[in-house]
Amino acid sequence: MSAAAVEARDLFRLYESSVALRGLSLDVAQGELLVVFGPSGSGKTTLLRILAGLDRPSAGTVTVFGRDLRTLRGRALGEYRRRTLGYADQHYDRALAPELSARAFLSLRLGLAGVGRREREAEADRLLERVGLRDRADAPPSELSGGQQQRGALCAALAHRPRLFIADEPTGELDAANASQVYTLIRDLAREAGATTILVSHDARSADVADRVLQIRDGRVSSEVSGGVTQSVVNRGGWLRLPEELLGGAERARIAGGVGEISVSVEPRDDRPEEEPLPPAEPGPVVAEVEGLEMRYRAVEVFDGLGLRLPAGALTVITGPSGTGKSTLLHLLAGLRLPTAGDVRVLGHALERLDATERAAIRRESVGLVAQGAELVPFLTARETVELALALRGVEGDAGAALAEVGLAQLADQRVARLSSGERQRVAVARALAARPKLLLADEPTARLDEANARAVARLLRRLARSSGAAVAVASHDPLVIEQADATVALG
Amino acid sequence: MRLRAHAGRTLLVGLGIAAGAGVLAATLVGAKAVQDRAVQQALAALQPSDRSVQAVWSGVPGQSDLPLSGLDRVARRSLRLVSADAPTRVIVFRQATWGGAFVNLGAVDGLARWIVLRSGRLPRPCTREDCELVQIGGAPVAPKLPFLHVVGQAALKPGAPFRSYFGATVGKRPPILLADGVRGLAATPLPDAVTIARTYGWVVPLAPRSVHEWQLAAIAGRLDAAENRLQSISDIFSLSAPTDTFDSVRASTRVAGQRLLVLGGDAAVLLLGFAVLAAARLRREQEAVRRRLTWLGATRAQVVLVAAVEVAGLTLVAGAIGFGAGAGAGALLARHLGSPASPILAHSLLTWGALGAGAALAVVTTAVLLAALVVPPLAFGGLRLTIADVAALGALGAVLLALARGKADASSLTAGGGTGVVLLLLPALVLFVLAVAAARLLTPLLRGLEWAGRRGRPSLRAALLSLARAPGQVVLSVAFFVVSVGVALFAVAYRATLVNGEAEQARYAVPAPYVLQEDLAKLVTVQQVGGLSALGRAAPVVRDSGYVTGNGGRGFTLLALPPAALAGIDGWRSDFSSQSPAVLARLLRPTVTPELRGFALAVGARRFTLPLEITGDKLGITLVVLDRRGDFSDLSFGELGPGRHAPTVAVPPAARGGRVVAVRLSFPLYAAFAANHRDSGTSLAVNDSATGTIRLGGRFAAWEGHGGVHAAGGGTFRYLLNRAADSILRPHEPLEGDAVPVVATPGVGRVGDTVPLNVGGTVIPGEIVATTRYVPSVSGDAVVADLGTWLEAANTADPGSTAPEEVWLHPKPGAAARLAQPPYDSLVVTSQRATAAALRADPLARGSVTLLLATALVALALAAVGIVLTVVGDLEDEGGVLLDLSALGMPPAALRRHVLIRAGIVAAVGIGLGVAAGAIVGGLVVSVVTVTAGAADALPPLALVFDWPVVLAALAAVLVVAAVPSLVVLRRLR
Repeated sequence: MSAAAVEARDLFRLYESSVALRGLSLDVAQGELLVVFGPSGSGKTTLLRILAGLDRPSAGTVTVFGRDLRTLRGRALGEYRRRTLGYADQHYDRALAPELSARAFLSLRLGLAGVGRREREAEADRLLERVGLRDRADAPPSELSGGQQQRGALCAALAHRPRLFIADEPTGELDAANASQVYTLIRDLAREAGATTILVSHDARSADVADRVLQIRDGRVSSEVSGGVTQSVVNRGGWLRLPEELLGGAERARIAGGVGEISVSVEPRDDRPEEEPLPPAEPGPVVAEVEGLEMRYRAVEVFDGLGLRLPAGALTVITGPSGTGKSTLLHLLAGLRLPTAGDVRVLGHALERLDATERAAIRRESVGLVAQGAELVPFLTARETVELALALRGVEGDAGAALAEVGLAQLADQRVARLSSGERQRVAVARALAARPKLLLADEPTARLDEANARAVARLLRRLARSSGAAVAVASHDPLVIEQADATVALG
Repeated sequence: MRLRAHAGRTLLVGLGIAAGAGVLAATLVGAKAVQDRAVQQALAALQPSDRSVQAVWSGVPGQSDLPLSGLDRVARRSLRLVSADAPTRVIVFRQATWGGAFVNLGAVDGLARWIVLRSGRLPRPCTREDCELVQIGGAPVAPKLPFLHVVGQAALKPGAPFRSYFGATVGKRPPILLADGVRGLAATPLPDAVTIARTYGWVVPLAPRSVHEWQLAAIAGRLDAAENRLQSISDIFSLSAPTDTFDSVRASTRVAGQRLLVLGGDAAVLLLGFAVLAAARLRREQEAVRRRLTWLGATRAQVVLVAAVEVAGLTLVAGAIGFGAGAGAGALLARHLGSPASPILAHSLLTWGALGAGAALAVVTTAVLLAALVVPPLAFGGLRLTIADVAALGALGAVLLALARGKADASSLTAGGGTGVVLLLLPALVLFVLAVAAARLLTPLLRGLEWAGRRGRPSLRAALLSLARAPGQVVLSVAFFVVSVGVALFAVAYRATLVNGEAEQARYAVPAPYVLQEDLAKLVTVQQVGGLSALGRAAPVVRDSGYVTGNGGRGFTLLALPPAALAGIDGWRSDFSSQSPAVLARLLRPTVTPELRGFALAVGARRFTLPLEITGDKLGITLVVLDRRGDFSDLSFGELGPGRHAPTVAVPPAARGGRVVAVRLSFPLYAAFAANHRDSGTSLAVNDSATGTIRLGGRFAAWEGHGGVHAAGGGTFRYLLNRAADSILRPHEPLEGDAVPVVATPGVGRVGDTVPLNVGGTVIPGEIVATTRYVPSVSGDAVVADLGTWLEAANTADPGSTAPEEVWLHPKPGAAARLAQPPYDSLVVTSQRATAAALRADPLARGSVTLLLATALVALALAAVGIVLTVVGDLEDEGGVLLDLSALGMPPAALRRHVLIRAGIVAAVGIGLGVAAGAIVGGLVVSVVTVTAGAADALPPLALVFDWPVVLAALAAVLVVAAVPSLVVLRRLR
């Protein structure tokens, strides 16, 4: 490793009603591949946006290869993004121009970097070959799968051989196989380009390709893993974060010792409820089932004779690579779509024989759906979101309790639009739980959650299945969810 | 490529721009066509002889250094400056006796073209030796000259442009003898011809369609040049052309053109608003592009440049297509009106002004669209000022400044200048201000609605919550509805106001179904025609001009009419006065019936003898007789010297049965002439009085003398007469000495004032009993009096001076047709209905109301599209929310209801505010832009008319039209 590529000192970023960074400091060496972990809302994305020049810190300094990003404006900022920076967003579909093929988009990217016409086309083809998209070079993004789109987006982000490459949850919407491929690809492409890389992720597998791993909590760097050694990071002013699992709910700690040796002692709270072990699943009656399911989009066949049963009281996880129809299956079970052929039965109703109003009635009365991306009504507060859902379903429920179950009691009166994507995901889960549906369908409910929250949500879903006798079906490739599953169904 | 990828939305934006450009082009072309049609109609309304350019030389040959051929060359060369057409040559000798026949002798080149042969044959071309003639009018004549032969009888065609050279061919005028060929007649050996004055004329007829609106300015210049050239050769030459018509039609078309700015400004705001509304639908894609380009390293300027190139390209392409389509529509209209399409297009669109306006609009459209795409949506609320607030404040300042600078009447618009333009841009500015104000009002309004609906059903509550908390695009939609509905309502109201104004102007100008006045060319009085009461209800009216002595000589029009005529006057509007016409009539009614006293002449009296005795100087004696028709007759006994006399005078039929109301004593004519003669030879005043006593007998015992006459009792009067005094004897009249109650305009005086009214040289005191701002048929200040009272007062002051010269007629059914027949055709008959029809038929008026209708339709159509866009936009913008609500089990009907409630609230709020905006703009424009549909000054002033049934029907139609596609679109929600 050589001199620092990125130096951030005491970064603060304050928004209207929240604080994203609270004195974050970090150094990244040239050529280093740094992975940043952190729970949702911890400030990871804000850090990347500042490094990308898309946002500016409220206080603190940040330099990239010696350039103070706070002072970059206009042309200089454009030049920085064009020459120095490569950026891969968590929503890879946004990175690609929908009207341009992968080759055309790469050529455009290279053209902006000053590469000549002939060279840029050759380089585009080389990069596409490198990521296995040579045969899809002329396809628009809409004809590429999620994994293919992400690979294309990575190509575009690295095509101009940036000195700094940053990626924000680049595998958030990919299955495990595709995700591993992408991590490897990032490492290889970054090395080929000689790029310093900062990769923000929730996915523990991303650490496999990292030179160093940082953990961010509450807008500061809390710990660092390097060479297999984990160290807590002491921030300026002596701020040190103690792992929650060691605190045992304690709210005070005693510090003793001298220079070079400090000891912290706490008294764990005794009043914390013990988490009861969940009883093993007892197969109940079938709440929903599909049989001989066929589904086609234009010429693409998604299902061909699929069969599936979702028993009451069990958490069934539907896995499979991206594009294998996990989301489609949940939508079919919710009656939001109808199959090309085959039966979809929910609580004894053959959905394909019902009209839209009747299917809506079944959803209202018996089905909870946590959609991927959790596009909630943005202008409602978290509490109103849950209350509106309860009102629509015509059932009584405690919105506050449901939000508390997903750890959002403090944010109950915050508008959804001001929540982080992970927090929104949890509001969606709370809303589905509050109505105690007989069939709960969740599409990647932990995609943007940190490990603790993801584990908590997964356990919550399983507990719901047990306690309410609901059939819970989760489309996910998150191992934390899969480990909670009573049954798994692999698609593709 | 990107635009193609979003073809639907791009097409919608393009359609908005194309529609804007199309309306602009169609308005420009249509206006030019209408203006051209107005020119043609004005020319067509002229007499054929006036509808020509004529070079005229009058005199005897010795007055010119040039022979006829030389004058001919000069005249042709000069007229070529004005028209390429060859002139028709005319020669007319002054009325003279040729070969024993007293005739109008003349010649015309190409005679056959201008006459209709009645008998005989057409003359052959005139030669020195044999000049054949055709006679027009009169008994057959035959000049006894060997080379003149009358070969036929004919009549001049109505369109013959040289008719005026010969005067009327009826009555006592001598017949016309016309030869074919000026040169031939000029060469004939007419006896003493060199001493006979003649007129040479070179006439270029102007066909109505040969002169176009855009040529008027150039023609005026060419006429000046031609006249200069003619007069440089001979100052006897003159040039005549319908320049007054050209000037007046130029003025009115200019006013009409200026007023187009009202529509142009509206159309621009409307269509820019629509483009912004539609462009907002592209905003999401633009945001994605911005993000992508930013990640790729583009600066903000580059991002904006990409958007600007796209928008400019779209604007140019769509604008060009719309401009072409609008030009095509305008060309069709031009052809429909009978104007040549190509020149109309060239002079309306291919002008620097039009091209500049188009370019400016393209730039503004591009800028506005660009702003709609790249500038974050404005959040109105609190005390924070947005750029729209600042712009609206600027527009408000401009509006207030414009209002402070005054009204835009026809003369200010003709003169041009900034005030008129600013005033005419008022609607656009005011609509913009109101749209921003509506956007500001929207947030509290929606919050109030959300609060009111907090206990409603979930779908209603969700809809209200979404509107109150995320009004984003809703603000834009509401602002657009304010503009579109505002423009539509304004256009509908302004159109109704102009149309109603035409009817009001006709009723104001002609305050009864028919108004009959004396024809000054025929000099037949309404009393002489008589019998009008047989046709219906006829009200005699005195109309005269006068001035108020001592009030700066302020002029007024006197209108004296019977109480019933005032009470039922047409064209009255309640805003003229605080009192109704019936009340005003009551206020004017005298306490006693006014009637001139005197003694009656027997109905059968053919002669009247007045025994009298004169002691003193000679004097003239005339009886003033009020006849039974209400007119006056003078019965003159001539001049009588001292002694006893019993002069007799013939009583004309009209005076029989009349009443002698005064005796006028006059200074003898010869003595007056002699005195005048002496006056002219000296600077001193000449003693020129006649004095004496006249005894008229007991019939005159109670009479009084005025103007140098004093009653000595028993019918004896002492007199002192001169040239200056108007000396009369008459009875004392019952209202004598009282001021005449009058209703006057505020310029004449205030209620309670007694003002000296000088009418026809006689001063009559008038007491103002009420005021009114306007009086139908009067332009400017007016004084209205009771007819009987005024007649008595005026004829007391100056007996026989005043009688009705006008009649307002409410004809019985079927009687109106008789007005075109004798004897009524000797009067000038003005029909209220014909006046209204003429106003309606005015091309400028028709063009204005048609364009307003078209604007209203376009605005309503765009409002309907706006509603559909709101629904479509909701489906897109709220797609995630709707999917979420659907996932929660909201049935499709409830989802549709959710969208409809949102769109309905937005449309209702927008339309409601739009109606208010339209009313405000309409009121403002009507009060400030005081020109009629025909681009003249409005008299009476325009009064805003809201045709509410039409407005409501139009808005209902908009909702129905918008509902159909909206419901189709909503079927997507399954």
